[in-house]
Amino acid sequence: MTFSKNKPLIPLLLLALAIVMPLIFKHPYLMRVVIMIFYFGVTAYGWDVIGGYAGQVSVGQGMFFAVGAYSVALGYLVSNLTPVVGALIGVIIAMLLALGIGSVVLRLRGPYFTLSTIAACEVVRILLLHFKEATGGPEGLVIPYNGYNLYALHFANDLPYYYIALGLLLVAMYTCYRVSRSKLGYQLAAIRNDEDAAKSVGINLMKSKVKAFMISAAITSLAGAFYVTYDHYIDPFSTCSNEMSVKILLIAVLGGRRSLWGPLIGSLLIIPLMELTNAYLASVRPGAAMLIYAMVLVAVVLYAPDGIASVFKSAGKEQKGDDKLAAN
Amino acid sequence: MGTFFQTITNGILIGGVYAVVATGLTLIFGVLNVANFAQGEFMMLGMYVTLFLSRGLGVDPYLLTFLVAVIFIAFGYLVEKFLIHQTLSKPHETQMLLTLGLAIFFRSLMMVICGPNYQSLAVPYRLKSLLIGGVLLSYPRLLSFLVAVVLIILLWLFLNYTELGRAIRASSQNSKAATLMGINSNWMYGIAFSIGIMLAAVGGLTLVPFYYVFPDVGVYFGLIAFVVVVLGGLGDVLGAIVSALLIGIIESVTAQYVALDLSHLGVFLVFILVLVFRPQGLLRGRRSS
Amino acid sequence: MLQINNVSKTFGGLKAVNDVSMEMRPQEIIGLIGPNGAGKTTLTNLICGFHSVDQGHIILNDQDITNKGADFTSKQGLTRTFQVEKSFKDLTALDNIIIGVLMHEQNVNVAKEKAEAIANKFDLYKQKTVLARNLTIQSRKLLEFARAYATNPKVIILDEVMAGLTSKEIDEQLELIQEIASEGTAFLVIEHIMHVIMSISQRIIVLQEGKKIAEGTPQDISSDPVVIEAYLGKGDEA
Repeated sequence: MTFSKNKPLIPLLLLALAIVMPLIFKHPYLMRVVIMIFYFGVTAYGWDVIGGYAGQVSVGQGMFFAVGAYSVALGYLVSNLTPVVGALIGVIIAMLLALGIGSVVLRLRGPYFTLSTIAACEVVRILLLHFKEATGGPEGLVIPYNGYNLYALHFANDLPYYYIALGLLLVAMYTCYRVSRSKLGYQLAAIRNDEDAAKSVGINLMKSKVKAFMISAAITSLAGAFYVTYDHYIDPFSTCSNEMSVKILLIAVLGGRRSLWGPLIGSLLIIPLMELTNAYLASVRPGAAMLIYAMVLVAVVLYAPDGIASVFKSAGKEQKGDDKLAAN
Repeated sequence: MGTFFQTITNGILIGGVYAVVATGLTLIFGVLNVANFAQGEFMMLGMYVTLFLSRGLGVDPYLLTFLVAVIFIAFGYLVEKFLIHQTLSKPHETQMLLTLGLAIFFRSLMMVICGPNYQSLAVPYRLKSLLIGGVLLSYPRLLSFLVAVVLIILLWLFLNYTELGRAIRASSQNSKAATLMGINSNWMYGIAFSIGIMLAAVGGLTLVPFYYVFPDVGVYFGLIAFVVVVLGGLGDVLGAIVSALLIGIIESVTAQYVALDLSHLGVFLVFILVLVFRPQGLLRGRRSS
Repeated sequence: MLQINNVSKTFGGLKAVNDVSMEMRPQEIIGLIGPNGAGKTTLTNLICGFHSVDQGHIILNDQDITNKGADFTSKQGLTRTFQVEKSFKDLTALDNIIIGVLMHEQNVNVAKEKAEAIANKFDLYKQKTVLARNLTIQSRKLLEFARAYATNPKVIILDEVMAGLTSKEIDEQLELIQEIASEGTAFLVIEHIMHVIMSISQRIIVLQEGKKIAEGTPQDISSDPVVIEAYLGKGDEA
């Protein structure tokens, strides 16, 4: 199940389906859920670059999402920048943030990296909450909607937002795919397997891991940047929080790390259920959905470390040599 | 000047709780080489169990210390045996993901059972305090600190004066050493983990009379415990105690003199500085080679 | 080409390597022997930059590479295999070799082709799609050798790659080493099987308790009374 030259049929069919589907089914709520699936899919692909391919568990991806979202929102509200430029600025800030954190802690072995991602996410949130004048503090920022405006990416219905999200998802998938097949992908695979051996073939561990972290940050901030154009609203708790970071990790790990389809599968499974439970269970039993996911996560970690995607894969056929980087 | 001493005192008092939770964390790391991302959640569970027992039995929470400790030693042992142990031979990321999964599980479990509401326990001495030399010592905070001190002294006696304790110490320095001492390492992993969990839970217990109990309460405490442990040097019990007090003071000073909502920021800044300049811990290197 | 000048390393008060000097020229095959704990692997770790040296210098092609780190050292053309083998277990044999080739190659497809040729040369072609973890330990050691060779190094340090091989396999591997050496690569071979070392090395260096106690041709070494006293005389298995 890859974009391999001999079997492009299934992915192409899926893509065609994704393009045509919203034209046929015009259910607004369903559309919203699918857009959410795409955005969280993007964040999960972003996580997979650092958490999957580089093997460095990040529990702070929410901060990159927030950086993207706030860049777009503030850029538009303060300087009337189009979200496209805002997103670009967000990507740059996110990458610099990743560079800063990464170059300090990725040289250390052990839990330091994970810890510092948690801490950094907390720091960013505390700052967002503290500088109320600029960020709106806990109330967040609202981007007023004044009718169709292409410059501001304001559309009359959800269809354009759907295609933006789909486009972003394709970009994220393709980036992940390229990374896994690139020199960097091989270097990360080497590092994941054995750091000493990686050094013996001239791999600069820090450089490769930091690169991966920066790519991961860029993808995640893009998701935040365009999500805010769709939602018109951003606040620190729903983006730059431990909960958000954990959700992103959960989607990627449940779906399957280091696999082309894993993050999307994870998002497909988790987001609709979360939406459902939020809609119907939230008032009765908040936390019920997370409880289920936590149990599935523990089960996956213990019994199917390659995630749910691997179940599909092994049901399909024997692992080909071609899938090697994705398969472990 | 009175404010200053008051601030330092407040920091030291809360630092006692940090020390207990962090000592548990560092013990687990030292012996099992597992970074327990659920430490804060075990503390949260300790708070809820204390709350329920205290309400149900009508007993002061501090009198429940022994009971809560026993419950969590048993609980910790089971968690180690049936979950953590399965991943000890696997890569570090597997253990991290497992403990993260447990953290989310416990958080959402309590959310489902008790809802997101903040709960508190009314103890008669909640607002009473002692005035010594111009410094106010709130009774619950003082009691919490005293329980923490007693617990740490007991732990110290255990680690230094029992064979099992010495084996645990030896194995946190060198896992082969413990095997040479003829201690079954599986048994010891279980013991070390359950003591670590017990410390988290009792740390939580001491907070109940003056702190809100809610499902996410452990997130910040867990993080603080890690900051303390990194500051003190991974696996270093004495380092954890000293840096816990330090963190308490930093937090309290930032809250008093910079901004209340930035109190956590001061702690994280110290954390980042330590990672940049002394990743082996602030204190390590002064005492040993 | 490679010069080790007065290198020392202390671990917790114990001199693991004590003032060792040696020199290697292109195409040379040098044996490094000594009883267990003599410091052979520590010396390897020092030369390759896995441990920092306390004193002394390591110079490769007139460039000082002392304490520059293992990745840098490898990039300069000095690489190794590991005594406790460290192949990339979750990757296929071919991927292991590709990662070696990629040290000096940007294009993954080109690297793949080169890696196939190397797999062939090392007689690993049939196992190229097998995950390293599923190979026998001997094949994994050979794979490590292939991975090291794939980086196109000037010097390869082989740390007990021949343990557990049959005598026929040993002969094949010796032939391979000699072939690669004749292309210009120098070898430092650590091995316990004495007749292997004797037959392949042009020079032999003997370590004992971190010190170099002898250096010379295999004939010199086997008749050196100091060596016999310290090492060869101790048991029949040597």
